[in-house]
Amino acid sequence: MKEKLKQLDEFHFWLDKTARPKMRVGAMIVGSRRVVQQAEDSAVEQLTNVACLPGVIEPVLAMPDFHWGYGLPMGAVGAFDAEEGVISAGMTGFDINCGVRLIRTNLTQSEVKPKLHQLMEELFRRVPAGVGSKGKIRLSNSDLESVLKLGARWAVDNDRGVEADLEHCEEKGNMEGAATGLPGLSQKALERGRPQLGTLGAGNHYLEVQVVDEVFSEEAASRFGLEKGKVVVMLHCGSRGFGHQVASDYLKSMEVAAQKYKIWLPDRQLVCAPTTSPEGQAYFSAMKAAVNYAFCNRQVMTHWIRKGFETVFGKDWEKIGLHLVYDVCHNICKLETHEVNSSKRKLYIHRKGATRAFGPNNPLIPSDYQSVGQPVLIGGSMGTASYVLVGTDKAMKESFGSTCHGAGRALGRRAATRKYHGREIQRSLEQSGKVIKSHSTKLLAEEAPKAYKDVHMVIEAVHGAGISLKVTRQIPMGTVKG
Amino acid sequence: MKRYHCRSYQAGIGFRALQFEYFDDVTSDQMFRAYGKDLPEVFKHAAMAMFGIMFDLEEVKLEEEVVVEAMGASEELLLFDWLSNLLFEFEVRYIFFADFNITAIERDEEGNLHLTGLARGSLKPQERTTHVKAVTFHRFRLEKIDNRYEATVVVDV
Repeated sequence: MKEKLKQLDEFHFWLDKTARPKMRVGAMIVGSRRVVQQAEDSAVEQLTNVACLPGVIEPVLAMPDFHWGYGLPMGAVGAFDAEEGVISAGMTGFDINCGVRLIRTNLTQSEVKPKLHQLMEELFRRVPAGVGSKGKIRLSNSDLESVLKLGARWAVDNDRGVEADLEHCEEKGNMEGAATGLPGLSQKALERGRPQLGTLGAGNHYLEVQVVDEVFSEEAASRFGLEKGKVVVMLHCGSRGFGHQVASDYLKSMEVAAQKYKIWLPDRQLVCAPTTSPEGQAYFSAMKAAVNYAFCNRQVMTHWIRKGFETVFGKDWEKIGLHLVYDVCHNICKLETHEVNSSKRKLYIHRKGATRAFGPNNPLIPSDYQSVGQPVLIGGSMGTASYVLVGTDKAMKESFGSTCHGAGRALGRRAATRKYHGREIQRSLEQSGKVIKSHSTKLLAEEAPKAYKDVHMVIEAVHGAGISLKVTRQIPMGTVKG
Repeated sequence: MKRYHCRSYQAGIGFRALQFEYFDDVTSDQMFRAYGKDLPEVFKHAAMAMFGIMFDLEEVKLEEEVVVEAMGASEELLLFDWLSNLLFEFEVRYIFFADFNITAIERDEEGNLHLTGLARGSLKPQERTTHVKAVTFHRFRLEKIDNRYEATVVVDV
């Protein structure tokens, strides 16, 4: 399929809808020639699968970090008309509202360095991580209902955060219209959700203490409160077993719905239902519950991160300046208004491994960021750099207000464990002064920095394409892995 | 396509038939194929393959036992439900499952298949790697080829 790609300019490739039968629209890859060279042919083919679905809006998009996943590739965006289109549980993915938040501090690298080991130990102790990790919060049934309805607001109402935190989250940390119990949510989802609130999970999720080592845009950086040499904390996690269960439940019900509405599926994982159907809307409400769960999860952990810093530095978190810069979603479906062929249309935007990147003067971004645009938080692989970017008007015109989400895997997990050894990875990272905390050395091998694409290549591509612009780069000091 | 076989050795018997194998095709996820002479066996091996991604099955003592049920309109959907329900049981009970037995597969008047199985394992935490989040429909297939069942599964990790 890759041979059918046409290069438009340095950072855009186009796949025409004639590339294969049944494609309704074309697809665009945002990326350099190197990005396309590294991409799997099957990932490109997956874009064409999405382009076959009813009501799809041109173009189906791949970001430079895209790679072969189930259904839609990771690092892709699929937009569908709100009336004629479909909504898909498979396309949104299992880890609903997997996302990233960034917390800044007024501490310098040299202030943190002498206490780094103690700090990482404290954070590792406070934030439960690992497969099947249990949270420290005991939720009653009615508490869980409130979490699903209110998202991060629940945590703030329960003394685990402040109003400003909510202001600085995508959707203000809460999507309205979420299902909060049966029948929209299964008993299994509720049972999985109850013990896991406030847990990091495993796999690629992490908590990282980083230092800003380069500022590309002084104006945006100062708006976001970021300064060279200052320490920040990045948190990457999602809706845990609750979201996985919601996605699994609706995958099954949408398989039936797709047959009922006679939707031809090029890949069974793309199971979907018409946006206006009861099945489609039931999924949307259940997905919002998982989105809210994830917002709340990150908010609760933010509280513990603040408490950890308070213990180590002996000051209130406000005095350490542990304010939330922003919180973005990576796996989500949203009803948004975008301009299509010069007219405004309501669209369901599926972002799977992609980040919203709204430009300046947008009412949906925080008031203090109006002049510069929405912060876009990009986590690199373990041991490499992370970035803060800012959304642009070009993203609104070109990519449904979306950009990349991370480095993107280059190597499968089993391949990585054969090639790398966890202890060696840990040793080499620690030799460079970094502190790594994990329950599993095998996981460290799976997450070896070289198992991921070069994050710089990804960033240069989105910056070059103009769908988001570089603000700062951070390098890790200490990492907690699941 | 790279393959990694998993044959288990038993004293006196030698190598048993191939139970399951892993493939590296899907970069961000994990694909495996499980085999069995009949449905109960392929279901058992698929469960072993799935939990084998997370921890070493041979290290797990079989101290706990849970009855797991599943339902599906077809054999394929029954397998999907079985694997999904096992992940659910793993997460809510914190039992590291390593051995499985299908005790019954029955069809009701409406044509739906019902499965009853046993999952055995230990509450003792094992060294874990990645987390299998869910079973996907991507490339999902259960086929009977030459009197042998073959299940292809991609899980989200």
